Amino acid sequence: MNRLLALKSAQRALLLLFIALFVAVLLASQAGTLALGPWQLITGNMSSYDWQIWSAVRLPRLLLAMLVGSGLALAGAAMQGLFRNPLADPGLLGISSGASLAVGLWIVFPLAAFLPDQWTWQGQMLIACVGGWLTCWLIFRLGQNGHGNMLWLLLAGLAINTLAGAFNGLLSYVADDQQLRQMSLWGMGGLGFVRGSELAVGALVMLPGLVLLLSVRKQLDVLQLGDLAAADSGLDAKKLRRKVVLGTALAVGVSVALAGIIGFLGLMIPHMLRMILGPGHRLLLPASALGGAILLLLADSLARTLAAPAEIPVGLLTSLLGGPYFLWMLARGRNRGDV
Amino acid sequence: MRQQAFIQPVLTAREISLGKPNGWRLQPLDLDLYGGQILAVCGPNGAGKSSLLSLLTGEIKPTSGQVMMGDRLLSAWSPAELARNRSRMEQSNPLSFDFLTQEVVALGRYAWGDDQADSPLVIQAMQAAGAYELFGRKITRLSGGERQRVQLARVLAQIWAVPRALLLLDEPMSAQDLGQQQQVFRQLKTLVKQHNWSLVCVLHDLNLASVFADQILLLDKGKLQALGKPAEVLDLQRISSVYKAELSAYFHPEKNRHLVMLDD
Repeated sequence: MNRLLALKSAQRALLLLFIALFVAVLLASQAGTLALGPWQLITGNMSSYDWQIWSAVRLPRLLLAMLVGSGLALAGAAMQGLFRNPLADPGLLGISSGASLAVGLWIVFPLAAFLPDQWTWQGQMLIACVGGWLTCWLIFRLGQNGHGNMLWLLLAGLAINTLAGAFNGLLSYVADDQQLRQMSLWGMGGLGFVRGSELAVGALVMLPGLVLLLSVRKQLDVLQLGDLAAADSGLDAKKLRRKVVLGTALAVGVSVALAGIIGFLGLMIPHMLRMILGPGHRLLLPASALGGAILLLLADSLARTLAAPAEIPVGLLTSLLGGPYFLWMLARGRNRGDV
Repeated sequence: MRQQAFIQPVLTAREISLGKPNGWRLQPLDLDLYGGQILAVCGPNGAGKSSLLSLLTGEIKPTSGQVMMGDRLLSAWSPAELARNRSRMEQSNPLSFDFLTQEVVALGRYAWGDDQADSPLVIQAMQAAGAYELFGRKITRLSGGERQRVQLARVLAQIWAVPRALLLLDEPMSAQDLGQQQQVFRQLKTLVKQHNWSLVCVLHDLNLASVFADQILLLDKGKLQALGKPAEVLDLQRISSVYKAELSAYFHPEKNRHLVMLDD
């Protein structure tokens, strides 16, 4: 496929994505039980009651979808650059489940008891980041022997996902009733359970991670030459690696803490954008952040409307989309001799 | 030659070695690389050619001895400074995403910060490496030889027009046909003379080395066997014993050049 956009039109591509994001926000704001049309939102022609509900319920949800969507897609694109492998998705590599296992441990074991009640969820967020960070490092340490080999990475991710799943299962045996309820409520994922204060703290933690990831977009291109050639070109690969791992941990950790596991976003968005914009990370990383926000806004709107008045967990929906996409990537890659 | 004694070498290696006396990977050797000179590093597989290159770049620290670039130890150069004065082409390069060829070449400008993929410099470097015909193609769709020329263009772009830079090439021509070998080597020779570069080139083909190098360094089992002009180094007995092959050597009087051939 020819690239639809040359490098020079990078700004145009980002502008288009911004417009698409704006449209997605308008669509998402009127999808669901509480429907406020774009015209109403722009002109402010609505009852103050509607506005209150919208700003207290819908607005945080939209912001959360954008935050989580851009975080996951950006982390995915950066991971793929770091591993030089288009299949390196935070979900597939087990980073999300590592973060979620950390949260499970946090809920079941009385670590949180040391903290005052109102700090419990901040602790949960932090612990999810730590869990994501540890898994990230583990994968990377192990991956150095496999030299970023695709099959090897996927198997390592499979093993970590299985292990984390098993441990989470064990935890649910140990947990008491209340913890169990807390775990299963959180484990379902979804964007509908977040209060404004949680969102604000989540954004405060995640945004530095996103900025960190965006700041290394040039370096990630150079890294594609291989460690040795990158070093010869003047790149400090170690520093780059630390930055990407930290940024990914923050993005994925906060996403998991706030919305549970939402899979395949980090795989699909960068892959689709790479086909259109080319593989250069300078454009791919910001575009992925925007694309992730758009996709999760739309997916969440669907999740709210498909089975209305009930809601489908949005993580389920992205997996329904992403699973087949992943299989298609694999099949296509096998035909072409690469993925 | 007498004048050279007063010219500072681009790179000086003193008594550099790798490994222990009973398990040498490279026995102690001295090496001076001068601007405007081409040195071919030859020897059988496993002779230590790539190890020598790694020592000269500072990628591996020598067990003993020291390497100086200009008047400073390698360790006294910052990575960015080094990248602007020295570039190396490896034997293989993994690129799994389909970058365009000019984007790959532009990556060579990372240390300079002027890495636009369509800059005149990138195009000149591609022309010099015989890769300009590949402009606009995706790197993942190229043959081995074509990729090699793109990578060569990248390392050329990295030190483009820098006087007295050091260029290290590990088997740069292994996948090129005769015509391309000649074309690229002529270009390299011109660049080396023009900018006073010092070129170190690992080569398998002794005849190619004899044609293009000012000096040949012959290694065997981690030991320096000979260092000098091609005519001196390509001694039939020495080459036959180093390569454990039955060979014939010819002297071409018109070209004033030694050629080595396998016996049947």
